[in-house]
Amino acid sequence: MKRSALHRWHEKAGATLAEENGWYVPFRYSNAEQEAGAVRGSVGICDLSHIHEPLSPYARFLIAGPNTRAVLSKLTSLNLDLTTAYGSVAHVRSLVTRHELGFLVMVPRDYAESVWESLLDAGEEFHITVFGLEASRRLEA
Amino acid sequence: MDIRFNGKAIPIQEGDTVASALYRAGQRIFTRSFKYHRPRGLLCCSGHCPNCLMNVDGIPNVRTCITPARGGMAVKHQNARPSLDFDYLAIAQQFDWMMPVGWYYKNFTNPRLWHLAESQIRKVAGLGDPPPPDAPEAVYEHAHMQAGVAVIGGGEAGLNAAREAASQGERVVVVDDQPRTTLGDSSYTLLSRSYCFGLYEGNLLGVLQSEPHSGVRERLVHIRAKRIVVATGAYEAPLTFKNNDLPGIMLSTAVWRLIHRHGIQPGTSAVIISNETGDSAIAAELRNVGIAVVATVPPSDVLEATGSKHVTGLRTRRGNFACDLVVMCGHRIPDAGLLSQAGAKLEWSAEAGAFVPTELPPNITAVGDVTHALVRAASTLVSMPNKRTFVCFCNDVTSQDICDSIAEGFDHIELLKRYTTTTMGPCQGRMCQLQAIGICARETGREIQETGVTTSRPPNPGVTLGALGGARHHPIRRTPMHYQHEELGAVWMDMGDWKRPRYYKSAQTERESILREYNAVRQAVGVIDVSTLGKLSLKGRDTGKLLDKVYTNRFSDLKPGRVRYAVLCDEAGIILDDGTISRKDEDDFFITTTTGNLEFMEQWLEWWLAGAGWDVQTSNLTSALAAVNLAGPKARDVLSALTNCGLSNAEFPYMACRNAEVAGVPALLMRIGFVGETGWEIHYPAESGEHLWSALMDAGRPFGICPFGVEAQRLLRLEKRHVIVGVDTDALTSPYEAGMAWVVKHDKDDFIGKFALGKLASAPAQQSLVGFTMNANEIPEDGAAILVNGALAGRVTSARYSPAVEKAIGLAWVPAGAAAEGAQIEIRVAGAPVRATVTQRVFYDPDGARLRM
Repeated sequence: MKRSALHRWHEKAGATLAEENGWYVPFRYSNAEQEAGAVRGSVGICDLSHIHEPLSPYARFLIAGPNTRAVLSKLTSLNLDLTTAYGSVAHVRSLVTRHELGFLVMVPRDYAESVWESLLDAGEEFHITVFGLEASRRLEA
Repeated sequence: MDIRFNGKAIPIQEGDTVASALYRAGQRIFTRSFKYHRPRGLLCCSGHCPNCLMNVDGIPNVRTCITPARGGMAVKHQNARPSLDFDYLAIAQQFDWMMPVGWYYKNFTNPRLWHLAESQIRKVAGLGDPPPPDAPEAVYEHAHMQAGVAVIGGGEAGLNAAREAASQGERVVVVDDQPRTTLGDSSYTLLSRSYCFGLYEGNLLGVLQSEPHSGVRERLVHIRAKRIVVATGAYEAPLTFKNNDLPGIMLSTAVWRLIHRHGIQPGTSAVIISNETGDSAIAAELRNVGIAVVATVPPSDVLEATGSKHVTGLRTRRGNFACDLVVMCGHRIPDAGLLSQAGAKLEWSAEAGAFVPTELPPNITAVGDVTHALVRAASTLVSMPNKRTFVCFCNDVTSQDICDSIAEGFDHIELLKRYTTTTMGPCQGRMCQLQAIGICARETGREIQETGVTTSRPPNPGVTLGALGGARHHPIRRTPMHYQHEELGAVWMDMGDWKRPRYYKSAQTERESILREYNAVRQAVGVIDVSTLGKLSLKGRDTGKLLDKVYTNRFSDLKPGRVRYAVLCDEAGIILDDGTISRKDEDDFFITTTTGNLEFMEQWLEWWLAGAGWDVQTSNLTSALAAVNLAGPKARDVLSALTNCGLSNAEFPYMACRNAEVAGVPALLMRIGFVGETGWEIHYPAESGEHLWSALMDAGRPFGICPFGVEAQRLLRLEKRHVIVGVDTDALTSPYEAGMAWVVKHDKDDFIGKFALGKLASAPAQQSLVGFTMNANEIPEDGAAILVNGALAGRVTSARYSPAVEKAIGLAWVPAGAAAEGAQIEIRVAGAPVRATVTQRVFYDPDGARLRM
């Protein structure tokens, strides 16, 4: 089974991990409905690293919710009005693209945990939540 | 609710600033001046002047007059010993004749004398102390915004401009220094308690926001705006007369703020200095709160203020008045610093008595008082030379100092500024610039416009270093097996952003732990995480051609399934990088680079490919692949348990590479030997990083496998005399000096560095990288000095105790004359020279037999 760069982080956070296309994926951390609600009310991040090409050097996060821009703007000078922007997020070279729920942030996978922690730190004032695949499906529905 | 001032409880009220609470509690002296330690009290109450700077919660130079008081704040005075009310350093005033303007330049022409005086001067002069290293860290953060329109200043003019722009559909940000909210008007974003400290290229605004949310002290906001509206208003600057710096002498705006914002009665009997005849607005304000207005006098009639620690009266041409408050209706000056930074011109207006902005650049507009529309001159600029008439409150520069400087020839306004340091203190000229220009104009007989204005540069006002630094987000790179190392007891080291296990704590001491790892590799089997290696895939039919061009040795003749060591030089023949190149297939190469050089290598290859028209596709697989090196006499036994790939010498010889599955994971195996034992470097997808590592550890357990760290690896390779580029080589090392002549193939077509390397090949080397063995038991440190006849002649690049040699061994740069086999050199160890013997031989397994076992 393949592991995202954040596998250990998810485990430590008590995530329920499920199999998805040969990957361990964080399905939920506590309660999917609560996670989705917290995202709708403020902001949340989700690890989508399992959706990628074979041999990808990137980890992929979804950041979603009404305070998404406020959190990202603390970590990057990129113009978030663009559909795709390439530059530094939390001092790491990243690709930021718009997503129907917010933004996708792609970072080299060895920096994944560092950027993930920076997102959580920057989002503290907005009570940022982590959310799993189940909540992300609810949000998309 | 209380704040603590020098340990004493001071009650605070709703809406108090630190300064207003202290003032209400009876504090009148807030600071001691920079040079003469004169008592200074509240002057502007607007965050402009230096008179209320204190240490708040460990942060020095806080403008207490604009800092909201919060229960529990610890406030301390600065720059006064022992207290503000009695400062023995005030004796400095008696010695002002010793400290004329420019006294540093005049007196300290001898460097030795300066070094003697410096520490004493620093004790006496200055502005607060930085927080001690163990002080609790304040939290800072950064933010970035894009706006259609940024309005600087949330006064009436600014808010009107904001609403108008918002009504046109613009995204509007308002920067305001007050602690208010938008009051339900959501058409614009309001940054309250913020000030703009600079306007930079491309309409970038630097904004500092205090306490944007709980737990964060300051936030630095970068605003990129299409259009900027400057609505910074005008501020009031003091008048100049003898003893104009005494506590109790305040600007009219400060008095207004104390009365209206804080409900404080700032005195009992007041003299107003104003050009306005008749009953002025401020006089009515004073009477309303029960302050007797003793007199109103025009500035030109003022002779001096009297008092020692507080004003007690004012001597004027109209008589002498006893009072405890002097209200200065000072110069109203447009706050045009940002406009000037944007490129606007400042022109003297006699009517306004100020420099006013003109010729605004495109996309910058000014509204309100900053445009000077309603500003009228407060007084003529009259200060005559006097040693107690203060022009610059920040740095204690008097009108006498300014006149003396001009007499000494520093009569250009920019020279005058630098020589006297006027306008260079915390107020950045707000309080003093106009006066300095006025005196300069009068003394030189020039017009004020001609005298000109000094340049406003950001940051103004100043910004804390913490805010510039921002949040502590130091990026960390972790390999896919990071947490497995942690579980195995890794002791970490930093390599750039990477975390690597230096060794695994398996014994009492570091040395024993490393020795255990070393022994496992030499006698059984060890495994090291080398995921940090740079990894590049190069595909296409011209790849061999490219590699021949950029590397010194030949690759076009490398057979598929083979690996070769590679060195890369620049045009001057200097070693830039090394690594291995594997030819996986005819047109499919895999390159490893040193950990820190990957990005350079990627760009270097792209550079030489650009415009060549060659068929080569490069891709960086560093983050996509994990890599381990499995090495030791039992490596084959371990690996064969996990793969069907034939591993015998016949099937998989030394310096061969194969694609194969290991523990079900597709991998590239390379049989190479950096540490000098039979072994394989295995590159495989990062998402299987933990899986394959676990599989190797499990399969290796019966053979005594041991994970090893960077420290053991460095010792193992040192015994093999393998050079690490960047550790044993530096920015001047050629392959010839490094003893690697064999990597340069002069018989191939042009390659980078060929010409220079041709010259270097035939020129005698000045220095050589040699191996050495210590004659006795000492172990030199990396970087230790090499001595020849007692003189410094080179340095040790790597040295370790070698279990194989049973002495310390190492690599060192020595003069060519000392590089012969068996030559004796001296190395400085713990301050004393000790002897070592030079050798060019490999310390361990010189024939490489163990690599081919």
